[in-house]
Amino acid sequence: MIDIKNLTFSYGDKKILKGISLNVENSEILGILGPNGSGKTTLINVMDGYLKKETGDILIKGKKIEKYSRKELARIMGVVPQDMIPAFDFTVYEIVAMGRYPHLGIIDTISDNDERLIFDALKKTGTYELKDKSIREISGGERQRVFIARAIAQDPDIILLDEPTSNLDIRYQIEILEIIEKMREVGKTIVMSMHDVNLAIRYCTKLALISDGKIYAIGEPDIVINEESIQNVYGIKGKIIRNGGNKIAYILPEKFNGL
Amino acid sequence: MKKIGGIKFISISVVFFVLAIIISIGIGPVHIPFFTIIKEIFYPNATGPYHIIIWELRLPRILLASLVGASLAVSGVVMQGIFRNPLSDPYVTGTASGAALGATISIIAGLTALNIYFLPFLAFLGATFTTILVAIIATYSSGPKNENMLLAGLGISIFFSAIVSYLMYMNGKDLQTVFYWLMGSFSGAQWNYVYIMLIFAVPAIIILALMGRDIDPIMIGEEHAYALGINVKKSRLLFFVLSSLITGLSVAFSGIIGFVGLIIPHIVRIITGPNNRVVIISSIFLGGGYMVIADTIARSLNIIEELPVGIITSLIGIPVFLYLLTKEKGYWR
Repeated sequence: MIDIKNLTFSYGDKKILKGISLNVENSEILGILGPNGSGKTTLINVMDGYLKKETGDILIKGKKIEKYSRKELARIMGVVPQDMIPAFDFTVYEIVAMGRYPHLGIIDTISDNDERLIFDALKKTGTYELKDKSIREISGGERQRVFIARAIAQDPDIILLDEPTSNLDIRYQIEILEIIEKMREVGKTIVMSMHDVNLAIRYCTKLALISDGKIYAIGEPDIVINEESIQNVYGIKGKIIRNGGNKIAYILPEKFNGL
Repeated sequence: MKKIGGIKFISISVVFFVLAIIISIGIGPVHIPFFTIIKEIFYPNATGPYHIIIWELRLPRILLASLVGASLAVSGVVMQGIFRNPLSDPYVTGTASGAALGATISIIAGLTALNIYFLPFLAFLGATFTTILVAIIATYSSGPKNENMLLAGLGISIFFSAIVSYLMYMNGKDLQTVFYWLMGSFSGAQWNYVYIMLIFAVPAIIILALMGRDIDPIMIGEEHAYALGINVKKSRLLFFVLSSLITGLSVAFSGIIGFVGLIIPHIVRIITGPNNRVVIISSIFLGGGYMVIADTIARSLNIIEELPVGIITSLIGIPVFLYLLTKEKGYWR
């Protein structure tokens, strides 16, 4: 679904991505993990073309990203950027309706079919009751679900999410991740950057550990996450707790005595 | 404040617009009854007593005022939206100062006396030149283009205003003419101006109304707009050019009229919410109708001579705006 080869990107003189290669198969959830400043958000932004890559290739469904028009790309790839409070009082319904814009011609208005997809997305994310409220008067967890609803209404094959669970308390985090898991079950391919290693292990089918703009390891969570990789990437000792089978259940960071 | 639905408010604006035009036709030194106006509009009678007053004197002026009001209001919605800046107005890009320079040169060099079309022509030329200049400066400067465009426009405005002031200072005899033009008026209205607006401004307004939807995601954030299939850079430039065009035409035919372009968009947003297609379509009729009313007051008050319409637009409009602003908590963060 997504094939990335030797991707580089710099802000001015500062190299952020130093040759990233990875691929994501159909209906996978790829979690991008790494410490702050490792390039997670940049990678997401370059993957959707918002930031222009320097060198390397990004293939979406086997076709180079630059061969797509902006609108074509928006029909197959939805993006949920990092959480922020918009400056304007758009209603929740209006925000989700924007997901249909890439499908509308210049004189089109929202059709019955568009309306059905919008309501569907609102219901799937549990935001239907909020539809007439302003995006600015709902909570952070609700807002995040609204932007996910917009990506769902966009009806793409791929959804990219930039730290969808940051700044949320644990219950909202789980709610969001379950919505994302359901998306995968209906065949969507998901790529998301994440902070929380434990949640990533639990919900992602594949993990990419990024360190200093390079891929440290990529693969199934069980293979990628171990004491050594946590030590090398995050610079802390972590104890890995496994449950009954041999699956990783939890990383327990040891107390940091370095200071 | 409770929001009014888009369709409902658009309908109200259309009714307001139509009534403003018809009632204004009747007002003036010669009063014309409502139904006589309706009759004359649908069944023109060339020998009727009001024919010339309606068709030659009042209608071109009223239609020009409505088209200018609509253009400025729409231009304001677009500029505020694409720059995500509540203080943007149609003149923010320096358009007005360029037009003012063109008009001043035309008046002072005596070109206006040779041919009345010199003034709007030079004003439009000045507006276009400035707009292109601002766009070029913003493109070649580093940093966030969004702010640079505003700052470049501001800089050029101040620079050109200084030249206009200098020219006025050096040419005392034309001072009043220039000053009067700068304050804005529809007293020079004629059908040719109306036709030019119909040919160029109206299609641009229609395109802006249709494309206006793309401003919604831009107002949330560039990243969001990008994710929704909008090439932000390209579409911002297109919006910028089209709204500069209608502003340039408006300034050329009527001078610099404040308030409508800055405040009408805010009033509409407070009432309907930020959905740009709705805001643009409502602003067309609210801005147009409001300008017609303001101009009718300007030409009927007749204190010494006709008042500049810009004075009226602000004197009536600002209190309404301030009232709405107090009713609305945190409408623009």
